[in-house]
Amino acid sequence: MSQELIDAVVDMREEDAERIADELLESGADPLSLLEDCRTALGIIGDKFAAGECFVPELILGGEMLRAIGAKVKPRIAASGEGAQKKLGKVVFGTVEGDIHDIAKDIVVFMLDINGFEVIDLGIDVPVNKFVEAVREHKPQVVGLSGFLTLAYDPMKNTVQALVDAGLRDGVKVMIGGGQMDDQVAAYAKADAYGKDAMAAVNLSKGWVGAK
Amino acid sequence: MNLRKAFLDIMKGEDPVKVGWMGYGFAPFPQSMFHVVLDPISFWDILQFSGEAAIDNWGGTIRYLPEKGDPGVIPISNDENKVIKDMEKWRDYVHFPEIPSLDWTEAKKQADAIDRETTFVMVPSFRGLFERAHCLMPFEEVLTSLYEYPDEMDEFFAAYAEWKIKVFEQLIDNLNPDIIHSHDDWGSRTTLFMSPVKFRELLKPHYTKMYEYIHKRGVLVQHHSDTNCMGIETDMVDMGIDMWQGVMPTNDIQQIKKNTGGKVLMIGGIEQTLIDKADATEDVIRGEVRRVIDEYAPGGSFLPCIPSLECINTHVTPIAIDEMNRYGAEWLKKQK
Repeated sequence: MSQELIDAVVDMREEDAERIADELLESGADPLSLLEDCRTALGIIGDKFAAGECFVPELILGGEMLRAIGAKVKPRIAASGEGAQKKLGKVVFGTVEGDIHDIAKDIVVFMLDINGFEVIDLGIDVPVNKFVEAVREHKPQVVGLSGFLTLAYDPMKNTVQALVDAGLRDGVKVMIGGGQMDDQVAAYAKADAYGKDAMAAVNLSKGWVGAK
Repeated sequence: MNLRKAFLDIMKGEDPVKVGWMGYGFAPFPQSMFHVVLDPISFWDILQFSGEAAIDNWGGTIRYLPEKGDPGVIPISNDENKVIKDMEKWRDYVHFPEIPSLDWTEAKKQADAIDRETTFVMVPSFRGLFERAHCLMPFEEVLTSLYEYPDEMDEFFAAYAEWKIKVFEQLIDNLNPDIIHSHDDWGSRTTLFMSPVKFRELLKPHYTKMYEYIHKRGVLVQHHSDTNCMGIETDMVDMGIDMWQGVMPTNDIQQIKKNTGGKVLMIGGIEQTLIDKADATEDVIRGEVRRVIDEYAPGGSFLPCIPSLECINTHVTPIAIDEMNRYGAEWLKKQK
């Protein structure tokens, strides 16, 4: 473990983090341990976010650092024969029908991705049947419904109902999130949970797939 | 009851019981569009554009399809269409449009018809500093640029603030408003988009300058941000915000009153996720309004209002406003 690398990521010192990663790799450090250090750092940033001590930009920047360092270590992991890391699980995600807001969706998709999930991003203004088809095709453990406006409440409810009608609801957990969402809307839409931000979405998904 | 006077007294921190009024935060504003007199600059800069992918005066792409239920103009900025392609060279990409000579006749007529003795003339100014930035580049890039290119972001905000001051100058010269409703969402429902430290570093100085100008011209500042702004409430006082419209109940409203010494009038408080539903009953809507008044009205510096001004489900707004005035009066009686 490199405390120096963890500190650089947590402190948002992007150039230092990449330099330290280069130096560690040059000195023969285990490439997988670098990824673990980045994940540890992201966990610290996530905890600070939950405590109101850091904000969305830090989450994104931390994720970008993990991605940049990931790109450096990937060839070495492949060369060592250890192969790609196994994904934690699969999430189908989209902004529901009638809503074209993508800001919250993109941030959550990014955070799920860098936290080890395979994400099928259906985009914005996603019709109910597209969610149903995607769940049938990709068999995810989690479905994420995003929406910014109050007019997203009913499309969310309709999407969950469509999963029920298609006989797919029991196989997935459904989370909702976005500008005007809360626990009451989750209950209204018959979703399993409301994620108040990107880290909550990651933590919910991890909980549902049994990951730490 | 002179609502204008009552509103100003509450804005100055007077106890609503002493003032003798508690009610809808926009009651003293004659209903025009969004309770404001719409000016030709807002129309030229923002409201004239509609369509799936219209290009505005800045080269930014927007979508506005009211027939599909879009509540307003939505910026669509992505890697393909973004205006600022490289933040370090933002000056090469951002061309500040010159405000043309516009016809103010209709707006002046509307403003002149408003009784200034008992009501207010308020004009809007949309697209604040942060909102303009994310019209010109993708949202995530704005957030990361605050950290990766702070000097360039600061320069951009400074230059845009100068442009906004020219807008304020024309609004005031032509319409002589009592209040400017300045629009910039600084956070989400649960948190600010940036740390208070970043806010103080990159936005506060420029807003202070903008709002100093408005005050210098004898006009009050109503800042709209229907978000959570915990952490910058005392900065709002420093920046010269007289009224914060859009305060969501996810903020600790009582704590903000304490922290600011009641120097910012908060207008909002309603939980829209509870009432802005197709099947929201009258009981639920009225119950939420009563909760808001019971919880936030004591001590003053607060007036109830729907944070986004209008609910998407059109049956909700009139019921909520009716209850704000009806229960507001009942609440006052209970205090005596």
